[in-house]
Amino acid sequence: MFPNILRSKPDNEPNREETSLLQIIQDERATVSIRMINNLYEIAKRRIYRGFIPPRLLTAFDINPISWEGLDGNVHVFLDAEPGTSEAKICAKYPWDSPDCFLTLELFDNQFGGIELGWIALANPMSERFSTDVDENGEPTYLGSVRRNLREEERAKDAGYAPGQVRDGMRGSREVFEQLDSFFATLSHPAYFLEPLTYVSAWVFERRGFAYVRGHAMMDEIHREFQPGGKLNDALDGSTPFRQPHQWTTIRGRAWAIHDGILEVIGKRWDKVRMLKRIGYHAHVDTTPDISY
Amino acid sequence: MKTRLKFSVTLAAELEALERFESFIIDTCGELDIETHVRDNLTKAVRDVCKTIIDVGYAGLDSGSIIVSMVKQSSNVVVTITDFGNPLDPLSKLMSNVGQAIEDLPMGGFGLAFLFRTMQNIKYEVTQAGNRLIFSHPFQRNKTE
Repeated sequence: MFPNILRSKPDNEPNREETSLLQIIQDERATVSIRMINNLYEIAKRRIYRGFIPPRLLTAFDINPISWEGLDGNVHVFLDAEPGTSEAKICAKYPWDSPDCFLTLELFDNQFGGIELGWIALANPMSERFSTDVDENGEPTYLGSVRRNLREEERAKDAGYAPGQVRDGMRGSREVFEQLDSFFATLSHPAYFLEPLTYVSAWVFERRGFAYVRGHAMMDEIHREFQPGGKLNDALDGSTPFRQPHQWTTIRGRAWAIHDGILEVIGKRWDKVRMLKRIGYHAHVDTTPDISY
Repeated sequence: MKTRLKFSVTLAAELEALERFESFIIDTCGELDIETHVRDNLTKAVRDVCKTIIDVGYAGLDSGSIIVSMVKQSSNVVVTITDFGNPLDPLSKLMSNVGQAIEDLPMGGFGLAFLFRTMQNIKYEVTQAGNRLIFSHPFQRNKTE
């Protein structure tokens, strides 16, 4: 009966997905890839990806966690997981036609048979929006890696936002990561991976139980150099709004300075940091002891 | 009454961390009332393994984490060391030689002779969730209990 949920195929044609699904049924340890899920029938696929979202995050907006419909009758959760692809994106919106997602999750298969969490964002749709994601001409900034909107960034910083945040957070990341552990256990993956895009992200992921595949020593070095007398501390010279002397005392302050390129003074760049979450384990990493958010 | 079952620490794979790994083992053995000579053996074995991971596994890489965990299982203490560097291929080869006299093993300066001499049930696995070296040591509680 299980193969009936697969996409249709011409009679007698070998079906790779069917073989894969049979393997899953026969071997409980066989890992399930995003591609395999994407190749299922739409309803089966949605049933599986439903398990990816903590229901409370949806019901907080009166969105039905099963039908993904709101009280207004509109669908608020959008799944992009095309057959034949190895990536899936889930976006939940409130209101349903908002240009922004309040919950964004992106997954993709990596070349080693594992799954990467490509993007995770929780944004309070009721909070003020800062357009740091586009420049003054409306061109995307790609988190400031291609271009920056300095005026909006300064406003966002003053409002207490972190680099890359266009809206305030929703304080639901603990639930999301607990849900992800269950989701990946269902798929028989012992771990999953991600690349934190900002210093704040890495700090959050540490608190959610992640360890470092790459970049742990760099995080230690950054913390060391932000201490009084360190090179990063010295570079907080007030030369830009993002390099004020007091910023070393908070994670957000450090993150804005790093976003502004301050790591150059120690010959580093914010890239190649890679983290891993082992299902069911908390790594208890803390590279920034006694530093508040 | 002591209720903690498992103890672990995660630090960057850098030489400066070796002392903290040693302290972790010493403190945990204290919590578990483990005999002094077992504590000393575990401390040296963990130090040797972590140094090898730093020197060999993470060589040329931007160092990630090393996770050391200890759990008490009846009369054994089981240590698991997890890392995300390159797998220690020589260790895999050595594993096939366990049981030989230590002086016959092709150590080649790998620095793990003490581990093989003093620890039991040594296993090395390369998994999607990292490289894992697992070993155990029998122990008795300190006489003070």
